[in-house]
Amino acid sequence: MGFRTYVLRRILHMIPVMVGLSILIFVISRVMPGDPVRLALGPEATIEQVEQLRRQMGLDKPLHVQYLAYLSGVFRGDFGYSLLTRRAVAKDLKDFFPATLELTTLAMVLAILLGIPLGVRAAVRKDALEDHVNRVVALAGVALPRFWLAILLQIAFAYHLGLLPTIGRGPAPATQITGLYLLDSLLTLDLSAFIVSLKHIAMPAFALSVGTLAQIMRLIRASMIEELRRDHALAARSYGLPSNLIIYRYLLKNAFTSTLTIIGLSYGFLLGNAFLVERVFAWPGLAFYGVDTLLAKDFNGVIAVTLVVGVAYAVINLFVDILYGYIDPRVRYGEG
Amino acid sequence: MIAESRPVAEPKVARAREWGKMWFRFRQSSLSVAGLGIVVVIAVCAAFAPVLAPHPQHAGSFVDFENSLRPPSPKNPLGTDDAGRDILSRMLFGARISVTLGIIVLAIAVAVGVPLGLIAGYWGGRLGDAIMRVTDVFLAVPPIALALAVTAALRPNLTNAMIAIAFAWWPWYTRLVYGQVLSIKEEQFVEASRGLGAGPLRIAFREILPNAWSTILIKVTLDMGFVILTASGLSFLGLGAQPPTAEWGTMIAEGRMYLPGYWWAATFPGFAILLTVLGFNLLGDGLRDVFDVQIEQWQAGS
Amino acid sequence: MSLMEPLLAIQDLGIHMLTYEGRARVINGVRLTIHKGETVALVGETGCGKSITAKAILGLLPPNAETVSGSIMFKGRDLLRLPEEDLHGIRGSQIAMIFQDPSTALNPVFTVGEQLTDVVLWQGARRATRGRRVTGAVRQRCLEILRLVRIPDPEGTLGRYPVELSGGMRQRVLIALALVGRPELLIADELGTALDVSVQDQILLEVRELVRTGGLSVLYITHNLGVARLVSDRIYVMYGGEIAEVAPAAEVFRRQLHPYSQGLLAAVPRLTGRMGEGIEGRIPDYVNPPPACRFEPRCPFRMEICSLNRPLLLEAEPGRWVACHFHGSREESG
Repeated sequence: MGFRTYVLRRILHMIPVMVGLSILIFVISRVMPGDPVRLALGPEATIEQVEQLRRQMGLDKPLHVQYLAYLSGVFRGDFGYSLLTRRAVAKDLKDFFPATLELTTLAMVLAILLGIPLGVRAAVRKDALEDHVNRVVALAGVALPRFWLAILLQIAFAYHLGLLPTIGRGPAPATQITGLYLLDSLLTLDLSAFIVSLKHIAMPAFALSVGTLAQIMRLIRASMIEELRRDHALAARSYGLPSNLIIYRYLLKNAFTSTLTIIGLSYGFLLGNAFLVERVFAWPGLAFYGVDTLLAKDFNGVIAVTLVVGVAYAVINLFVDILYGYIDPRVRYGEG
Repeated sequence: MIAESRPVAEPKVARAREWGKMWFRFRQSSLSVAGLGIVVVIAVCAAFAPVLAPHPQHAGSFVDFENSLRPPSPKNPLGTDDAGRDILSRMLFGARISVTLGIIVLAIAVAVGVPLGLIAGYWGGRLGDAIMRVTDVFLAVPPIALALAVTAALRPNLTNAMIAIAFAWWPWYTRLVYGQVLSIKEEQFVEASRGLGAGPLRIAFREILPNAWSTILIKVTLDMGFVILTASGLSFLGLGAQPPTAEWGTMIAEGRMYLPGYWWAATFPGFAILLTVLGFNLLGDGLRDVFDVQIEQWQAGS
Repeated sequence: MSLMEPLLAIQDLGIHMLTYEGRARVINGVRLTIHKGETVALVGETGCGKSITAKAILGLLPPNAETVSGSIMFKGRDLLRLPEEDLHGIRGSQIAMIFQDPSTALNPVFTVGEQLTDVVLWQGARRATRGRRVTGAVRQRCLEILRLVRIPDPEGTLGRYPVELSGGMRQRVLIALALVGRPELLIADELGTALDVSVQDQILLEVRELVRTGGLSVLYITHNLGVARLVSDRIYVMYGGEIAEVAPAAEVFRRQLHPYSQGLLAAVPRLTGRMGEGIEGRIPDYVNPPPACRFEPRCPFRMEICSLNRPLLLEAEPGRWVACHFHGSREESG
């Protein structure tokens, strides 16, 4: 199987999964107890008003008709009407998604940039005191309730030290291009806006990245230890290559390759935690919006958020698989 | 290679020796032993909460506004919350809730996921394909996101949080067992018993399943922590246990309103979660090393 | 250095491994010499300590190994007492090793060219600096060495990953990697064992040819006496971390002095290398080894003394040494 076929197959495999996910979420959302429409309109609404909105949203039709209508809407970029914000869900997504994208991307980058060197060091100094400390810290990082860490950070850096803002994303930069504040302020060379955005994102990004950082560190440590024991590592030493070259050039690539797919999967873990972290920091992102729609029983919002999370997760993993195939030739030859 | 014709030992003796060796290897790692210790302590707290708690009546909707938000003192070692309830007592009862929740969620996940994985792996075919496709759909979103969506369809309370998490958790077991079955299926002893005329049901449950148990048990140990973490997250968002239930996540959410002045109300329950997840993780890690089992070293949950 | 002084002389080597069962005495007083231009085979069953001996020479013992006695003299220096940076200068350029398994000893995510180039660069680094003109020379050297080990299409092979090569080709690349630093002593660990028998023979003959034309000294490590006879001048038979018998290759086949060698020879025709009915039992427990002769529990000719005194490796006939009470009249306690 060629690599291209492999990628193509991965993409084709995504489609039924996403359709399945949309059915699953659609069904879940439609069995919600209570009447979301009535809830949205409030106790003052007349029966006529409720019925009208119900018809308007197509809720009087049979379930499968509703689903097909919804699905065809999704392909046109129409996710229906939000009972919570009283506007098109697509518009909400457009507003909230960049904030989450920015937050999760920064958290992931932080996790990778810090996790890999820490993991390598821990592996090389296996069983030294430093390694034990690292392992406990890494495990604690995985075990920390993210929302609790977020609260502790707020107490320390916002209340006591007053260094960072407690909540929110700060003002948008004057010119918006991508909706990612950090990127936009950099692109327009607006340094003060960049610093403001950075101050706002620092705590949430750190709180979000800690678990993933710890995961990556553990994974790199484990696979590095395994790589250090391999024949080819010993062989490389026997040819007289210096150990730093062996560790940082040869083995790190192996270790990184074997952890790559898991790093991709851990993006899901990050996305899941965004639901908690965004809540604590009132970060105006998709997850924040998602929880709001949940509490308001706004089913169109819930479905859309879940679908977007699913698609984002799938796309990241597809990207990782392609990268994996690019780095590791065994995948291309159907061995790995 | 020259044959290593091991003398055939008594199977019972060999097994006892094997266990002894494993225990020895387990003890080699102080972290594993620490994990076991933490888990034992938490289990004791959960089992004997009514005895251990200084104020067992504070676990529920007890109020004593006279004593609200008192800092830690000999009477209330970890302080009191906004309703004047002893935080230590509530935390002990919280252990009970979390451990019970973890056990129930994982029992459901194993009961649903394992047979499906066995069927998909052993029989394969269209049914197997269908099972794995459905599993893929469930795995397409992070468990917490799926659990959140499910809670939306239900009234937010502890039981429903449990249902929602189990709903999102079983596919991990299906996939784990599926992979196990595929690799064990080809082993010689399975071939042998097939040759002896054993039926597929017998092979699946008597030959393959026992060989997958150690992996499943290790996964359960590791997952205990993550399920508890996920549940506390749901409760923190107001989508799981509701006040006045003494659930750790709920306690943090309640205590958060009195920050930073009354820090103890939100801080101590967080330590309880941290310690519990850490304990199960260390224990699971230790078991994994001892049994030399390969398990995906990550959790999309929590 | 006098003419008679061997290139490599191992004296009384003792290595213990720290395992969970306890302290395993895996190498117990091994003695071995290799002269310049000589090829020597170290023969024994799996787990007898051959590979550990080889790794000790290169200073590549696993972290749980502890050297408790002896010396490994190489060109007047004791390798066991050399600091790591000095060993570094010896590995690859003076002593090199061909690894056993072609499927694991090559790094899977780097091309043959990348792996070979790095070794060439580092072996040459002490003289040349990295640069454009040198890069051309490095490539030339890579191609030259690939041609030497008879790889067809060396240019194409440089750009390939190990997974794209056959087992035989990978084995050749491993040989190239070992030879590229122009070592004086080559250690070949179970050369070709992982390959098909026909390919194995071909590789063995090629290496024998390379060694003869290059004047290299070689230590072959093998479990197969037949292979040992094919490639070596002298054979060391190893059992349970000790040398059981030393003899010129042809002589061993004519007559074996040590009962263990007889058993090994009985196993030669078998493709699996399994021991025939001649010798029962298995390699000794290294944590609690037999008190005197380690082969005693399996030996068909054991005598009372065999469990009391350790037999020393003594010259039984000119050029032939054996550690067995059956032959030695001059036992000593040990």
